[in-house]
Amino acid sequence: MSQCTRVGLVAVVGMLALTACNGSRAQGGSTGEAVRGGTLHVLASTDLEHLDPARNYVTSSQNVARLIYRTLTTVAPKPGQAGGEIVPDLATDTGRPSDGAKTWTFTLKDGVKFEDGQPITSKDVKYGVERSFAPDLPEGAPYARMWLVGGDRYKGPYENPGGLASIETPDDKTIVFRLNRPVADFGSAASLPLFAPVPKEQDTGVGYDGRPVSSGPYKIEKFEPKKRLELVRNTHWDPKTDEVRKGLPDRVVLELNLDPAVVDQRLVAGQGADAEAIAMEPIGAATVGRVVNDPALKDRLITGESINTRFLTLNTRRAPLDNVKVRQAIAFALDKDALRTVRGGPIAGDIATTLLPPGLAGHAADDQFPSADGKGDVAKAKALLAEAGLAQGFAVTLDAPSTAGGKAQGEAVQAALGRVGITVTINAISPSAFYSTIANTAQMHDMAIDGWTPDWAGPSTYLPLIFDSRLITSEGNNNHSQYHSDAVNKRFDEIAALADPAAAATAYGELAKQIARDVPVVPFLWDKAAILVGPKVAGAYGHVAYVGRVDLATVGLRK
Amino acid sequence: MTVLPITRPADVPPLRRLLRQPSAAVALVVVVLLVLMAVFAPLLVWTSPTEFDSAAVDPALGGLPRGAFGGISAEHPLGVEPVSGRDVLARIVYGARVSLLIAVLATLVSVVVGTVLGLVAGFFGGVVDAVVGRLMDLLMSFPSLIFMIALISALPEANREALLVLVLGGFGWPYVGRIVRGQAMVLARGEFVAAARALGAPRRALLLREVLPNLTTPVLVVATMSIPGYIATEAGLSFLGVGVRPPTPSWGQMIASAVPWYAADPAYFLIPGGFLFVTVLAFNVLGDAVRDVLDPRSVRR
Amino acid sequence: MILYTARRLVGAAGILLVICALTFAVFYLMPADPAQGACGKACSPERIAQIRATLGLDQPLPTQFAAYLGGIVAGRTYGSLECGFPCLGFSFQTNQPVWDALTSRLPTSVSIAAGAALLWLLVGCTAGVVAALRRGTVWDRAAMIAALGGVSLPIYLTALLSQYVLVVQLGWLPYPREVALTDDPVGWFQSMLMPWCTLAMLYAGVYARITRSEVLENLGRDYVRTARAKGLPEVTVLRRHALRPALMPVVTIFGMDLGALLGGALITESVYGLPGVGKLAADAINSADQPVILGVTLFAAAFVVLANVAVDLVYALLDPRVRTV
Repeated sequence: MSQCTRVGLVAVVGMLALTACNGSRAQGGSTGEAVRGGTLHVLASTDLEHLDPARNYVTSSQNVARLIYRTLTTVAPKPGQAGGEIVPDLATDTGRPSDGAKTWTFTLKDGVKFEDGQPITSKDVKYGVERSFAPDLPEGAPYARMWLVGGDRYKGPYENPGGLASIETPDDKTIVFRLNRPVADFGSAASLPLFAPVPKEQDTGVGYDGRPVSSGPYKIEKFEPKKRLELVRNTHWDPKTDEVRKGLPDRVVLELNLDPAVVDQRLVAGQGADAEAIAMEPIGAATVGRVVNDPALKDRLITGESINTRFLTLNTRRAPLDNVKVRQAIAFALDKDALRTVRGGPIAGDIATTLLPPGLAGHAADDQFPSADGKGDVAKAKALLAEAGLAQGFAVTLDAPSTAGGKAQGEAVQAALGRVGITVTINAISPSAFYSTIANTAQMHDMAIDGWTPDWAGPSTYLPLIFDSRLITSEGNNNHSQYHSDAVNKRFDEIAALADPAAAATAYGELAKQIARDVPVVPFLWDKAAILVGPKVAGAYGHVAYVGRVDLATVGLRK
Repeated sequence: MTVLPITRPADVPPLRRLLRQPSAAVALVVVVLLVLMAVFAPLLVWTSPTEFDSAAVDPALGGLPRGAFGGISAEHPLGVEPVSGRDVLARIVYGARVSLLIAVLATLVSVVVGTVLGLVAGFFGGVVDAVVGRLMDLLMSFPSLIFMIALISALPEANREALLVLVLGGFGWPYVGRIVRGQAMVLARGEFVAAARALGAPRRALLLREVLPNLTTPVLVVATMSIPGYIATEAGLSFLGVGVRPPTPSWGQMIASAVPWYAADPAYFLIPGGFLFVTVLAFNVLGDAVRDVLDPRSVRR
Repeated sequence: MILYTARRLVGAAGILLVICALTFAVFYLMPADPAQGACGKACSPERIAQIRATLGLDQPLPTQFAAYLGGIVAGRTYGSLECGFPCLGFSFQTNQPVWDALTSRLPTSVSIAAGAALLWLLVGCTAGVVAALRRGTVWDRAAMIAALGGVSLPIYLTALLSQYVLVVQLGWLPYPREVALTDDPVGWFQSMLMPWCTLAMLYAGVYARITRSEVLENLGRDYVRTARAKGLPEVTVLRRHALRPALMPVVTIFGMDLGALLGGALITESVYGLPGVGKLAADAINSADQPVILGVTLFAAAFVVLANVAVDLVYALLDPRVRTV
């Protein structure tokens, strides 16, 4: 079992080891077969931001939502990189493109029903997508608004009850989307919650967030925000129509907003009902030592792949970071190993050297700022600072979330950059306001603890979203570094026009190297997730679409 | 049970009376040592409290300190912080500066504000008294901890240390004010003030020359008694994440960051926790002793 | 008596109103805008403006305050959202009236506060009385040293230490979790035991010290000597003349302490991870959910103020002279 936690430097090797490991564990005696029944407990140190399908845009909420509602397509219920594959869910296939991928057609399966027994029709899916345009229901994924014809003027079904003409429902089974540009991976976008059906007569507007109608194996019995969510079986869900979800436990109870240390300790102890519990989030650094040294605990540790890259964002508009030499110096000075230790050491992932993580199509091995063990190259950093005329150092402000982890990462940056004379002041921002603050160009300081997870396992929802200078807005900005390069912008347009997704991925990989030379961000960690589960949990694996968290749709309990 | 008559020779100076109690003497020594440690921090430790030592922790174990009892070694006499490897002794010593300075300054603020307002209220009475009285009622019925946290997190750009002093002092002064007001009322009606007034002394002179000196004792008692409370509250606020900002060390912050580690590395919370406990205890014992010595109406002797 | 009660209640309402106004004003210093909090990550300036209008944030401050007060008295709406009486605000982060969040957290806070209060009254007052009556003996010294130790132990230290010893090392107790008394009384008791003891340790120290000094003060009074001289039985003397008057100051601080605790034991609930009102406040502060912070502050203040009124009324009942003051 030793290769389970050993991380190969060549990522592919590491992945193979993990897959082999998961395979052997499923057959091994330590975890029995998952059976139907029982109550699965989920201990979460985070909150469910939104359950409303129009607003659900956070991976943990999406993982939970997969138990409650179905979407046109979804991600495959498989461990490792295979989980990135898109498979049909409510639809019979992953969508049929026509008109050069500007028109997409889906057909619904027979026998799919809401929790009240009403059949799900294409009009319910259309209504669900239309809701994502309503200004009252913000925060959802932007793709419907970006891509559908007329999406720039449509204000959702409350203000425009006539509906959006570019979504056609010729009959109850068929839905057609007309797009304003070719989108090769629209079938992947259709796995996002906003493509879930919503019955119009049961839409309670903003209140729908607390009680979305079920189309999946479970319905909400009780929801106390930031405290507890209790799910019970939806008897109208027919497993024969669903090849993805297993729906094994009779009940699923989520305890929300627990202290991360409390979650770890309860799962380490595994007493009483906690034996049938899984953690929502990876173990903290403090628990790593106990898990590694205890074979019984190590056996209960699930290692999940992720396509999340963590990086330090450098604001390219603020002096002296507007000088590329200074940014390169920071890239050399950063102690990536210390930042990884803060997150739990090697178990938390691999030291990142490129923007695109190894699990993502288009990844090409590269390291423009090499150093021994990722601890930084102080001499090279100092030389670059001297070239920039800043050998005496300078002061910057770093935006970091005010969580314990955020502050610790901030201090690691502070200590690393201090080695080359850069004085870092940490500006701690409450976690809920963090992203909206650094997304405000007037409020973002010199640097930020940052990261990005693509919406599906392809680079198209990564590089263009955060490095295209034409998308910079004063608020709600994703290009936190305010990186501007006309050459890069031009290349984005060329790649977007490519019809072949594989060619596009390779092109993105080459472009990533070009962007990396300008250092708008310094990648430091490619995440992995190490999750503890209780001794009675079976069939648990980390899912790449949910940043390595346990796939809730398939996990169960053993006898 | 009979109550023994009190024997307290008035001619013995207060400090000597204080030192006659062994517990008070020990507490005083502890407090003096703590103050010396805080003042001479740079002479006591050569390691910087913010310097990372990645060799002292084991990344494969999530950054657990290498070695027993939180990584205690010749280089790090009290061990190191998990993950970062920062020296615990250095953080304790520099953290003492923060804790003591904030507590003393907050006490100063509450004593000055409380004395001035309490004096004015008690001496002049009437409308002034009513207003100050209401204000004190108000502040004392505030859910102060919640409010302090909200207030401090509302003003992130300001100087945290100064803010902590002001907020702690701002919520603490009514406890001084109440006592001063009561005493001032008694004194203002007392014979010698009446006599002074009869002799035509102006009000301000009365306040400064007659009433204020008589308040020294009770104010000193409240001040000594309130220091441990401020130390604990400052640590509590740091514990809840609204104390001094990193990387400035503070005991409360150290304990807060030790919460996830208490099972894996108990030394990391026991050491700052022990220092905090001993400090608060020493100030409490000293406060009790000062009250017993100075306050003639005190029953605990 | 009725007049007195009415006057006290009006005074309490006044204090609450001022607290309300002050808190309301302070939260407008918050850098995070509630509209932005409700809008989240992918948020355009137009959407923020729309949400601001729905929340009435574009109105002048006094208008907003009046609407807030009106909500407390009669309920109100935010756009299409219903916030029924008593509306202490609406959390746009959780899509829930603040009142609902408070009432769902209250049972946990009441469980913690009631058990701890019982424990510390029992332990603290007994220790105080014993110490006073056996003044100067080993009992007195032991009780006072213990009390001083309890007073000097911050809650988070006791909490961590007890968890380390009782749960991790000895395994005598499970990790505390939210258990309803009606669902599982044994689990409830096991989960509550450490929070009770943690809080009681601090407060019992305070109460032991106060009780001791009050009893001693009363024992030294003339009327006790007179009673003794009259040849009354010692038990009667103690009960009627030393203990009962000593109870009054204890009742005063007990009212305030209990009131404060019902408004949430912030640190205790945070360390043990129990979802009470205090944890609600801590989480709201962490996520800058201003409506909840404002609501919890008012809720907690209301408990303290009402506890003060209750104490005054108890006083008035015990001692008729107070009513004329």
